[in-house]
Amino acid sequence: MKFFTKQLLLAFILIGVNLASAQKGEESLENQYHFPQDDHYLNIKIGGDYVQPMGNTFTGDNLKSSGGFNLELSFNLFETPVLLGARFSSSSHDVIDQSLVGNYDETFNSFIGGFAGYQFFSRQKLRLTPSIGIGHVTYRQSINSNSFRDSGTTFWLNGEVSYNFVKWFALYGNVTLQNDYLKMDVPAELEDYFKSGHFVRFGLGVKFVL
Amino acid sequence: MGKLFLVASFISLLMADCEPNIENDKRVIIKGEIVDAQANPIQAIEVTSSVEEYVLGKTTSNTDGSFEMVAPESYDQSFLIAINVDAENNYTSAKIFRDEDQIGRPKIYDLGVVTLRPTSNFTLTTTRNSTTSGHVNVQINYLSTSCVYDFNNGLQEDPSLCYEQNYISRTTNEINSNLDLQVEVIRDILLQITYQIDEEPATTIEVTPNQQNFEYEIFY
Repeated sequence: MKFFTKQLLLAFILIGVNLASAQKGEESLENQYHFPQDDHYLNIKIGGDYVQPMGNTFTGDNLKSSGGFNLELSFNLFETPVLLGARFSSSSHDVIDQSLVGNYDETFNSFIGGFAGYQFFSRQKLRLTPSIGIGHVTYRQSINSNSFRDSGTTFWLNGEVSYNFVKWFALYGNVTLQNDYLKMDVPAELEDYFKSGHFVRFGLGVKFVL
Repeated sequence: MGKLFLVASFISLLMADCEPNIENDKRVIIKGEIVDAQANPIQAIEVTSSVEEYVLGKTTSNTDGSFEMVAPESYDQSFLIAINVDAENNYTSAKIFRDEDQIGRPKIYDLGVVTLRPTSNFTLTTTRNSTTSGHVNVQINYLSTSCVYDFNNGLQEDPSLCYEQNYISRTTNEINSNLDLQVEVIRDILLQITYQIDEEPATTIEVTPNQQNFEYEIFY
């Protein structure tokens, strides 16, 4: 899992460096861009996710993949390509072996938090936006409608490609690596199993630029 | 409409308060081994932890009699670990309560070795074959098939609550002249049947059910 995280981080950095140098080299072609200097400040994203649990902890070992929901609000910082925003994502996962976690057949994962990103080619139709975020994550379970939760801190890395059809509307696709670190009170032999959860989220949705 | 909503909300809150609390961010391990009186492992015995009607964890024993499960925790007084509580495998059952005053709140419930005894489905029938006899009163004295333990850094057997003396009593009447009593008893343990026909002196006999299904018949 750590290996995968490092690999993804490295990929983000390499893509970022390449894109930054590409953008620099194409500054002379600015007139060809469809969109003039953006004057937008607010991006609203709504989409669906395919969420795959990962790792050798309770997520990758004992949760099934599922569909999810994603909502983001972000704005450009001082008309720069730097984005700041907030994100809410959720997904519901079936439990494979209840004797490993408790007598419930489903867990509802959701997180909310803030993120910072950088928008490459911010005046073109096709835009690339890597971002990194931190927030609060909750796993909510229910036994005969009596609910309880596990919670902690989540960190995520996100890579997004969006295509602007018009200035105010775009389609986006993204990949998010979600790493949850939980504050569980468990016996020592369960600490490794419950201390973290990992997901990769493949998202698709629409983006409104206001 | 607004008042109705307020009343509904209030009732919902009251109902929510009635539910026993399941702890957030918490899991415990419940483990042990189930054997019979000869120390042979017993497999496929269901083990649950629960609070009131909420089953927090559930598993079954392995071929070597061992079991282990992870479950959410509740500090409610009604927290219970039950072994073979439905008595589906023709073995006795065990109920384990947490002795919080003594041990606080353990993260691991290691029950150690839990001994269950085989049970027998005992059936007593009475058949009327006399025209002179009026009615018969029957009582079966037997040991219950449940044992209650306290958990205090391990399983503490409380003899006063283990295989308690129990009885069942029935009398025939003009409508039902025959009885068919069924009760689950501990196998190979003596039980007493006392019956009295009309006003005659009571008769007591002793029976040892030594099969999974054991029948005994009284004619009067």
